[in-house]
Amino acid sequence: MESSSLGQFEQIVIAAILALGEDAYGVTIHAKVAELSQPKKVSLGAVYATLDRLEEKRLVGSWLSAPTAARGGRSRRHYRLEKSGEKALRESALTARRLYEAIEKSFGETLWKAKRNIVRQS
Amino acid sequence: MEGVVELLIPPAAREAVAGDLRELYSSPRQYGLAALKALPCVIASQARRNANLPLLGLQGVILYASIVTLAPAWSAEAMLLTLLALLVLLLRDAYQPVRRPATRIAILQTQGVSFLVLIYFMTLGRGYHVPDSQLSPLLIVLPFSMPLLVTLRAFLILHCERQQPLPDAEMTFEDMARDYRGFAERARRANGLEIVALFLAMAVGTGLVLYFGPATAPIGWALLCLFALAAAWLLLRGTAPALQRMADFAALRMLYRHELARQGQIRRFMWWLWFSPAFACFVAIADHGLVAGRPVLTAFGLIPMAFTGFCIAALNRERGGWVQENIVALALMRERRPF
Repeated sequence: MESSSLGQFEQIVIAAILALGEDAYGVTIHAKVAELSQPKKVSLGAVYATLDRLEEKRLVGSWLSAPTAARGGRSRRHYRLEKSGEKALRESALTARRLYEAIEKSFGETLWKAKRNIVRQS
Repeated sequence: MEGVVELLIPPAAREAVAGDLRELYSSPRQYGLAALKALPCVIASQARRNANLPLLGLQGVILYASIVTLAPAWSAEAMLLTLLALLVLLLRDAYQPVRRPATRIAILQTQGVSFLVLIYFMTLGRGYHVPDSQLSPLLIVLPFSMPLLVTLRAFLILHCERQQPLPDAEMTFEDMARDYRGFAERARRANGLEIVALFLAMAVGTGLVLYFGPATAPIGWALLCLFALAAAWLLLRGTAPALQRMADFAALRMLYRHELARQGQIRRFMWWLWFSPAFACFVAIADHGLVAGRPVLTAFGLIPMAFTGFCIAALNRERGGWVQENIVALALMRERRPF
């Protein structure tokens, strides 16, 4: 299978699914994505749309759990990272690492100052 | 409010999205705002996911060409109307039901359409004189597409009723793999038959285009090119992929769901493609009636066009519902470990 290149938001969603493991479904994925995307705010709808796209690219798979009373008798749609998704995430992480190293080489210490400022502002 | 929100969520995403919104509920205001923010993305995503772009293109061309042929001065309005119709069709795709329509309703619809077809033939059989020698074969041959469609739909209803649905609880990997291989083989056979039929239709079509002369040549060659493209695509991309050796239950389930949806989309497109020459002929008949100032002839073209469109959409609803039922059953499927 061809490796798919991932957009930034897709990388975050896939990383969230990977981090959540068995507990990855709409609500928890959204919470994790919001945590990873700080200081940006993320809508639940954007997460659903990205999950749909990733599923269509066959990078993640989904299944429905048994209905629960807490959800008004509705099922959860659980997500799992597929092998192609893992591969795409690894490639993205390597690219991000190379990018980071190149930026760090040029900016040096100032990169960390800028990062501290962003964190302080948020 | 919950009921309204649930209605607005496309059926394929309703279970998960409605459940998530319920789980996040803290106040009616928060629930309403969360739903308002999530819904546009969910609807757009489902529309994108279920949209069949080649089919939408074909439907757009049929509609635009029909309006422009019948009212050449309205080309701008025709474009606007076509875009609006495509938007409605996109939304209809987003709200595609996850169940087959009730058999009772399908049978009632079929009976209703059969009755209308009967009236059509009785009117035609009253000796409506068609002096144009080029048009008369079309008038006699093409209305047969309607009873053919009605029969096909009745057959499809019975066929879907008889089909063994996937068990909605548990399956072993081997059982599902066997089921998938059977499905892939049926898809391969169906695509093979369609390719042979497309080549036969192209041979007959070429003869017809040459027989009818330059008047039908542009649309005739365009349709033949479309048939050739469809045959080539089916040949190169139509096959359902074989199961990979290292696949586990979840990967197989995903592949099966993906292929069910893809083959369903192929069949949807093919129904419209097969009847696109009929649409072209109906428009030609209606146009001939307009030019000759004979409204009955125009009606003879437009009525079967509407019938045919309705019947193909109904056939696709029937089959699409069956496909969606199986996709949902697969999403709910658990692996049963062999002892």
